Amino acid sequence: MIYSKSSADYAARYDLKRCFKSGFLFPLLACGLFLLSLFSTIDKNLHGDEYVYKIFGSDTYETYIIYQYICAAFGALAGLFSFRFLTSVKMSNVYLSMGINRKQLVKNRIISSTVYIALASIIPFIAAIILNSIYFTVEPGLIKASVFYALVYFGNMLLGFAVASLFTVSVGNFIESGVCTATALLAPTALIYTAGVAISKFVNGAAMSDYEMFYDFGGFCRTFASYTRRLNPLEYLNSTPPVGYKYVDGGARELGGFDYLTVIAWLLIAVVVLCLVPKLIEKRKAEIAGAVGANKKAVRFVCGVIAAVSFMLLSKFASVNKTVGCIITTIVPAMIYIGITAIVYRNKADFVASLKDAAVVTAVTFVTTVTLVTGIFGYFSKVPDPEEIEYAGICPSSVEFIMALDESRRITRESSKVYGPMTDKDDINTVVSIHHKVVDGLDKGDDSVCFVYKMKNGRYIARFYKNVSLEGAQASHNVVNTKWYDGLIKDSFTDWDFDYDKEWEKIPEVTPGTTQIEETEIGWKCDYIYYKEKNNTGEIYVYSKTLNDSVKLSEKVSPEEMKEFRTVFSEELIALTPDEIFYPKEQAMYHIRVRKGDAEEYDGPTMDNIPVYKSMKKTVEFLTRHGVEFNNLTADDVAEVKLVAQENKTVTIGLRREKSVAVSYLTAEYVKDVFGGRENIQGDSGFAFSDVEGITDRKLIERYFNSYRSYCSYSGDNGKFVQFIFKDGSDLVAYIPEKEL
Amino acid sequence: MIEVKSVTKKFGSFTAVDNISFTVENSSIYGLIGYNGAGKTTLLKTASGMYRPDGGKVLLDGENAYDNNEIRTGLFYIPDDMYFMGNSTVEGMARFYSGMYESFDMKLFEKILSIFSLDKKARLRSFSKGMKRQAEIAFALASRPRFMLLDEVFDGLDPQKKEICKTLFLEYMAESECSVIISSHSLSELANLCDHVGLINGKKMSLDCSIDDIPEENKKFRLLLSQPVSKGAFEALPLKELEVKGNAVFFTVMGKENLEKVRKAVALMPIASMDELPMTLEEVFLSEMEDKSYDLQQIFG
Repeated sequence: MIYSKSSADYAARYDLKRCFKSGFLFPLLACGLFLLSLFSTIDKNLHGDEYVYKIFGSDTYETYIIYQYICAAFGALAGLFSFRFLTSVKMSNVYLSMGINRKQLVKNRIISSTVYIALASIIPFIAAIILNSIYFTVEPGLIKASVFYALVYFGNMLLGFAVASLFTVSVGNFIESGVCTATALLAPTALIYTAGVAISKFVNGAAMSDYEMFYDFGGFCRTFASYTRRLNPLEYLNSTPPVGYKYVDGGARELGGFDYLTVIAWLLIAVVVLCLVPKLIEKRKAEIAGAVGANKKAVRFVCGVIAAVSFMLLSKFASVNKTVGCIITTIVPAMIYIGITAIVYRNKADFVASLKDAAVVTAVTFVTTVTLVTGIFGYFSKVPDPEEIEYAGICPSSVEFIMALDESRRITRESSKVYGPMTDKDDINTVVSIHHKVVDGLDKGDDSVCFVYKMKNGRYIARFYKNVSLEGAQASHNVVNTKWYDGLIKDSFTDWDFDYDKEWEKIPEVTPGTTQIEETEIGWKCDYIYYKEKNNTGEIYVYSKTLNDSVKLSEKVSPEEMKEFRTVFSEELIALTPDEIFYPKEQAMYHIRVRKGDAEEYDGPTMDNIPVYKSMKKTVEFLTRHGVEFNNLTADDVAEVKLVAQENKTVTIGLRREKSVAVSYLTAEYVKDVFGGRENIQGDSGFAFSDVEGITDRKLIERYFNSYRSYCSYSGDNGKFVQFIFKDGSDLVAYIPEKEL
Repeated sequence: MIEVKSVTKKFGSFTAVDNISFTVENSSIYGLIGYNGAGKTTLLKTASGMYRPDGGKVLLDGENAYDNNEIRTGLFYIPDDMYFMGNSTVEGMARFYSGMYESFDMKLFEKILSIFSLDKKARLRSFSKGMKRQAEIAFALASRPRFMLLDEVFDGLDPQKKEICKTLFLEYMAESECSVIISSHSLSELANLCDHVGLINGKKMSLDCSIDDIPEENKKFRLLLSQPVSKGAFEALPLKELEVKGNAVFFTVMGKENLEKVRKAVALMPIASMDELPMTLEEVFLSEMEDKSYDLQQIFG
């Protein structure tokens, strides 16, 4: 029958011992997962000089991020269960009535969990060092990497634990603390990603895309998440290249670029949050145990995050109708806020109080919507002064024609290509004038055009416009009037000895000299293709207008004549006006296909099916002079015709003719886009026509056959895609302009 | 000594306990009586230092109880809603309490277990409610606390075990000078155990007295008057349950001061005969609860 300080210390020591006995589960699971991942690398991944990178089973950056989430989750679970006694009436009856005060109870759990979390973070990396040293040697790089990643995952686990602890001591209910913790930990990801969505939907011209993208001369166009990755404690390893990787000359990789600053910053934040927990426990009222919605600040926080995320997700309506989108994003989040608080509080007084919060939510969403819709008050519609531009680039609307001219010059991700750099003053003025027309016609169509400028002050400006008017999209075709374009054509046909490398020196993130970087090897998701080889050789194929017959030009002409042809053809190509290129009035007489490097290798740089029109007299004369003649298929060879409407979309289609299943990704993808995203499982370019009934009327077949265009870009034209199915089983996909139907 | 001084506890806008004061001396068992929801549990949790009072304070041997780890090393609270860790055995829980209470006496614990015929290897979750109570009482007594707060501690116990528990509490109190507060809504449970009782009614303490004083301070009166007296003549007096039937008048008086007043007033009346009968604890309880009771006969019309 005593009560004294020593008895209190006795109880505190015992409680700490108990915490160590019972608090190991979740850190142990995290540690086990790491070790499992590590040991899974033994068989397949520990080889060569890459052992430094083989800390986990996979080295893709997604793996590192997944582990960030896993660590935070295990840390959070450790926090939730450590302080669970506070959210249970029964348990708090026991713990809070004994000879140990709340602060001590909290401190004991923080100490034991922090020790376990530290061990769970360190042990796998010590094991990694041991394992690698068994197979290879201990290298400083390996130790550096291990220290870095151990620190990262310790920070993530500790943050998860700290956040869960913070909420568990602040709210009354265990489930509620779980919801609050999950909300807090996932809020940065949810807010950043949905903010990216909102920006891409609302802010026309925002310099952020929905996906990582290169400018071929200006570095990256990053996603909003990528820009803000350091603000997200669970994704700050999300970078390109992954944190910890550095590319060096010659394509080799070495560890480096460890972003210690971010790691330590988040670690400090975790520590600060943890320090708040003992303070908050002193303010906690024991009677809230088990009660939902007892902490109104926590309810506000969760509802606020949900309202913010819903606000940004609702911005998708902006792509349907901006006015409707604005109304929905302004009002609905407040309604969601009210709904959630009504469910949580279930009493009139609190519900009425939440109406005030909802009014604040409405005001915030309204101001945010206005800010976004006006492109940050016109900032993204501002066209730079040509005098301040060092060079310019443009990705015009639907100009596959240009891309087809020289694949090696593009760095592309999906459908975005930036053409440039254009350094000539006139070219810059042309791009700027296109930019003005595009800005003038915003939200009046459904085309997209982008601009990238390197300013004389060293700054990059990138603008990605959607919903561009037909006039704006057509204006973008004027890119073919630039000297840069003329140079591109000329170079493509007259100079086979490209010095590719010089084009790439300006891209700091890309290592010159690599042939093709595989995603799995570097853990870096990228779609670009980089060619190291200088392609001194090439071949020109001349195809019939129906692509059923071809001639290898080198077999018909001498090297000197080949040179002459290249000059003649490129000059006539340059002379074509945008209208002649994009809206041809006549059928092609021939098609030219150029392959560089190994002419037989399909993957080599290719210029595909460039139409030769009757008006290109010198080219036609050359080919005729050298006896290039074909047995073109005629309308009589067509068994049936299928037509599909293009549904008023801006499309570009290159002539394709394949015997069976097409290997043409580009065409198939394009057609897929045009026809509402139907699946192209087999990559068959003709899939879009599969459900269409064939026309066998000979008159119609003849009419259509005599009016199709080989390669067209029709903006706003209500023409149709056509598939001619020949009697020999082959088919031809082309386009028939509206006026020819 | 436990001193509850003007304690008020609110849950939001709801007042659970309103300005309650009483004192539990050393070697004393204080019975806290009240109907369900009267605020007994809230008061005990406040006294245990779990709840921070919104007004007043609870002193344990002169020290503030709230979140005071030192003073609470000598306090054991048995809640109405018992908690045992996970899949723990009786022995396992005893180890827990022996870790938390330096004064925990394992031999005493085993002795009490044998009195209750409980198996220390048995898992607590397999126990009946009454057995869990017995185990909890064993943990409490073996911890040798200076203060014991027992919330509906006899709930679930059979009459024989109740008597054993009472004996144990009385013996322990006599030996240790422990101050005990025991709450119950059943008066019979507290009979022959408490030396003081407090009655919580309407969130307030309506009665706080020694058991010995109850018959002396609370009386039932039966008057036979020599001539009829109107009911109004009694209405100014601090009476309860007043009933006038011709010359016969029945009423109860509670409290020493009230009793004095009534005796003086009645002495001036034309009394033929007068009976002054002591009230039992139960009668006092029912009388106090009168204001809160329902007329069940009216419910079904």
